[in-house]
Amino acid sequence: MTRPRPAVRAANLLLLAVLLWAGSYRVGRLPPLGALLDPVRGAWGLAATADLPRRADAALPGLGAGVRVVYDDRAVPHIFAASELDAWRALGYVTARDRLFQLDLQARAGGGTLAELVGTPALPLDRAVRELGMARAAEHLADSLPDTSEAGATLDAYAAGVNAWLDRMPARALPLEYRLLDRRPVRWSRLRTVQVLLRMNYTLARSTTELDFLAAAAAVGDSAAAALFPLHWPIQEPLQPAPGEPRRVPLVVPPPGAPDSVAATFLAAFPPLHASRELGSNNWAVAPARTRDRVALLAGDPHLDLTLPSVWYEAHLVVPGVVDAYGVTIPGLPALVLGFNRDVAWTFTNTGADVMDRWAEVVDDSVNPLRYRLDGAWVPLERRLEVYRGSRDEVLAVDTLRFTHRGPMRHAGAGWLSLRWTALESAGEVAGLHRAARARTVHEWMDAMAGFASPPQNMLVADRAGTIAIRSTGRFPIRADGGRGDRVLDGTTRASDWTGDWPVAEYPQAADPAQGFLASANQEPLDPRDQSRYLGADWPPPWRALRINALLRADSSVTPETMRRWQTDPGSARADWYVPYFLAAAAAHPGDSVLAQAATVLAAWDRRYTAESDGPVLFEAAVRATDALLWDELPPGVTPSPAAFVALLDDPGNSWWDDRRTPGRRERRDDVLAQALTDAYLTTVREYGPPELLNWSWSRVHRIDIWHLLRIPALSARGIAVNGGPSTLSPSSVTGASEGPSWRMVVELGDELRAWGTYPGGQSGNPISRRYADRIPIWTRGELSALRFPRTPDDVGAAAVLVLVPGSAR
Amino acid sequence: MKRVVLVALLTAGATAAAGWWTVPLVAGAWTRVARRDRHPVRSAAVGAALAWALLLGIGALQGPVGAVARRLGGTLGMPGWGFVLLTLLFPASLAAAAAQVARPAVPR
Repeated sequence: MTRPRPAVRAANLLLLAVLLWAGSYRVGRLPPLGALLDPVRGAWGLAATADLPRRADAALPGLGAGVRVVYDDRAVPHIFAASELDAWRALGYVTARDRLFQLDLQARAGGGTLAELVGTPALPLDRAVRELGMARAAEHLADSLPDTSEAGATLDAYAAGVNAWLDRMPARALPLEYRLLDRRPVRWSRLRTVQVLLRMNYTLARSTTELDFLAAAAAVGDSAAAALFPLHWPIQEPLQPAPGEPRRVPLVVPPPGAPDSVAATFLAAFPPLHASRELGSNNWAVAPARTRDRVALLAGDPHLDLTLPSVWYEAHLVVPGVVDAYGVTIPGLPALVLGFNRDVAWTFTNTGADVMDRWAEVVDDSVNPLRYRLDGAWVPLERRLEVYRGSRDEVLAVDTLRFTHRGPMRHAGAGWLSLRWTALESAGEVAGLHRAARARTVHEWMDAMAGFASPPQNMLVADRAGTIAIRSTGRFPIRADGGRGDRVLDGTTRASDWTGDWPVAEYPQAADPAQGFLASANQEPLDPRDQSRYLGADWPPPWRALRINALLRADSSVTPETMRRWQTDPGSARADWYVPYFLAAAAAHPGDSVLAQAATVLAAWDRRYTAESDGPVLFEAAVRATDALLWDELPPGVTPSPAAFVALLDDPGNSWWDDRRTPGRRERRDDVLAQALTDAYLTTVREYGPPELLNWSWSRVHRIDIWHLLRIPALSARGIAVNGGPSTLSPSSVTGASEGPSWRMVVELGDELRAWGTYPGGQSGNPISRRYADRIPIWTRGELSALRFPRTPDDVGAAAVLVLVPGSAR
Repeated sequence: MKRVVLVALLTAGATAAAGWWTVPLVAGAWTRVARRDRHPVRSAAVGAALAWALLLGIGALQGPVGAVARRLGGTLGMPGWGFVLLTLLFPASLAAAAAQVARPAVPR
C-alpha cells in the first residue's frame, strides 16, 4: 500500500464532502440523495408497501372496541365497527395509509400553507386563499365545534385515526412526494378537515359574477354588460320540472355602450376571469314506471379536476343497527359524500348559486386603512397578520388582512372591496351527511340534509320504495330589497347587507314528478317564472341538461346498462343548436368554394364527439373563430356567457355582429359565422392537411391529462383519448383537458340494492402500487365495476385484512 | 473476491441497521483494518455497490422494485435503469472517496 499524495487525498476529501452534502441536503431540485436512494429506508422501500399486506394488526388509541377492515379485490376498505366514532377513526387510519400526501396537500391548499410544503411557487395560491378569509374562517369554525357535537367528535376521531397511522408508519412507507420535497407530514386535526372542506368550497362555490360584470362593464357599459352575463339563460331546462320544456326566455343584447369608469376603478386588481373549463356534474334518476325492471335507478358523475391520486376514496362503513353505507369520501373529510345504503342512494351536482357577494367600501386611508364607513360612522377594521412561510420555514411574505363585519376586505384597483361568503360561516356539513347515510327513505334523507349549507348542491335521491327526489340544497342568502348578488353592493350602509336565508321550502326541488324522471347538470335550477328571489346569475349552459332530458324522455324502459351508456354519451345539444346556424350562413354565401367544403364536412357530422370523428375538430375551431370575431369590443380575456351568444344567434342584425376592424362595412350574423367557418377550415387544413387525408380525428386534437397532484409527468397519466368534448355528458375542454367525470356511479334500488362505479385513478396514492391508476382503463372505456356491498366481513372475499384494536399506536 | 464479499456484507448490514450514511464509515474502517488488502479502495467501492445491489435484490422479493425504478427515474428525468445505476454508483463513490481519505498516511 502506498501513501496517497496530498493532492489526491484533498480531492477525495472534497468529493466525500460533496457526496455527503448531496446525500443529506437538497441540491437544486434534487432531493437529498442518501435518503432517496437508501435501498432500505429510501424510495426503494416503497416497493415493499406497494400492496396491502394480506393481514395486518394495529393498535388505535381511543377505539371503543376492535374494528375489522376487510379490503375487497378493488382495494376498497369495508369497515366493520361497533360504533360510528370507531368507524370514522378507522377510516382516518386507512385513508392515511393509502393517501397520506394527498391529505396533507388538500388541507394546505385550503389553509393557504402550500408554500411550506412545495416552496415559493405556491405563494400566489396561498395568498389567494387567505385573502378570501379561508385561513381565518377555518380556525374559527374548527374552534366553534363543541367536542361533544357529532361533527366535532367525528372530526376528532378521524384525526386520531390519521395520527395513529403517522405514529406507526414504517420509515419505508413515507410517501414518495415527501421524499422528493424533503419534507415530513404534519399531524392531523379537526382544523385540517375544515380546511379540506373549505378547499372544496373554493372549487365549487366561489363565484365571480360581480367581477365578470365589472370586466364587461368597464369596456361596454352597464346595460350591455348585463346582457353579456345575464340573469337567466334564454333556453330553460330547469332541474325543477316545469311544463313545456325546453322553453325559450327572451334575452335582448343591447349594443355596446360607453365604458363604465367606476367599474374600471375596481377592475385593475383582478386577473381575466370566466375561464371556460368543463367543471360541473350530471345526475339523474328514473322512477320505477319508466324502468324495465320497475325499480328506481339513479346515476351520478361529478366533473372535477382529474388528478392522481383521485379526489375520491371509496369506502364502506358498517355499524350494526346504525349505519351500513357505501360511497366515496374526500380524503380528509369523514363522510360518505356520494353513495348509498341498503335503502337509499344519493348523488350531487353543483348548484352554482351565488353565495359570495362583494361590497365597495369607503375607508379612512386608501393605502393603509384602519376604519371603514358604515351608516355614517367610522367602524374599526379587524386586522390580521398573515405570515407566509416557505419550505425551510423562512418567511416569504407578511400581509395585513382587513375584515369588515361582512368578511375579508381587499384592495381592488383604486378602491376596496369586502366580501361575504357562506362557505366561511359553516362547518356542520359532516353531521348532516352522517344522518343522511342512516336514512331509510328519500324523505328521511332530505330531512337530514335540510341544514346543509355549503357548497350548495343539487341533491338527487332515490329509494327502494321507488321515490325519486331532487333539491338544490344550501344556504342561499336573501339580498336587501329583493336585490341581486351579481353587482358590487354599497358598503357604506347595513341596508345593503344580506337580510336572511331562503327557507328550505323555497329551495328548487321536486319529488316523484309526473314525467317519471329527474335530472340536473348544473343548469339554472328554477324556471325564471318560478323564481321569487335572486338565486344566482351567469349559470352554466343547459346543454348537458338538454341532452340527458332528451335521452330520458325517449326511453321508457331504462336499465342500469342504459344509464351507464348515457354517462359517456358523445351527443352534443350544443352542436345540435349551433351547427344549423353555421350551415345556414354557408348557404347564404354561395360561390365560396372553401366555405362550401367546410359546410360539407360540418353537414356530414353526426354531432357526436367520438374519438374518430372529424366534425368536432372543425366545429370547435369555428366556435373559437366566432368568439374572436364577435367579441372584438371586449378586452382580451373577457368572454361573455354563451347565453349571450345564443341570444345573438336569433338577432342577426345586432350591432355586436359588426366587426369594428372593418370600417365602412357592417357585418351581420351570417357574415361572421361564414367567415369564422372559413377561418376554421383553413386553420384546420394548415394543421392537419385536407379532410380527405383523414387526419382530422377528434382524438388527435382532444386528449385528457390526469396530472399527479404535483404535476410530475412521470407520475401522471397523459394523452388519454376519450369520447366527449365541451358540453357533452362526459365533458372536457378541447385542448389541455384535465377535468371530467371524477366518479361515475349507477345504482339500482331493487329488493337487493346493486351498484356500479369507477373513477379515473386507484385507491392507493403510492405511485408504485398497482392500485395507483388501475381504474383508468375501465374509466376510459366508459365501463363501470360492480361495487361489492357485503353485509358481513365474511362476504367480502377478502384480498387483505386489517385488524384494529384499542391501544396505544406507538 | 472474498474481501469484496466481506465488505459488501458489512456495508449491507450497516445500511440496513442504521442507514446510508454508514457506507463511508464502513469503507474508511475497512481501509484502516484490512491491512492485507492491496486494493482497499477498490474493495470498498465494489463492495458498497454490491451491498446495495444485494439489498435491492432482497427488496425485489417484497415488491415491484422495477416500478420504483421506472417512476423515480422518470421523475428525475432518466430511464429506470439509470436510476438503478445511480443507486449503485452513489454508495460506490461514497465508499471510494472515504477509503481514499482514510488510507494510512505512512507507507507500510
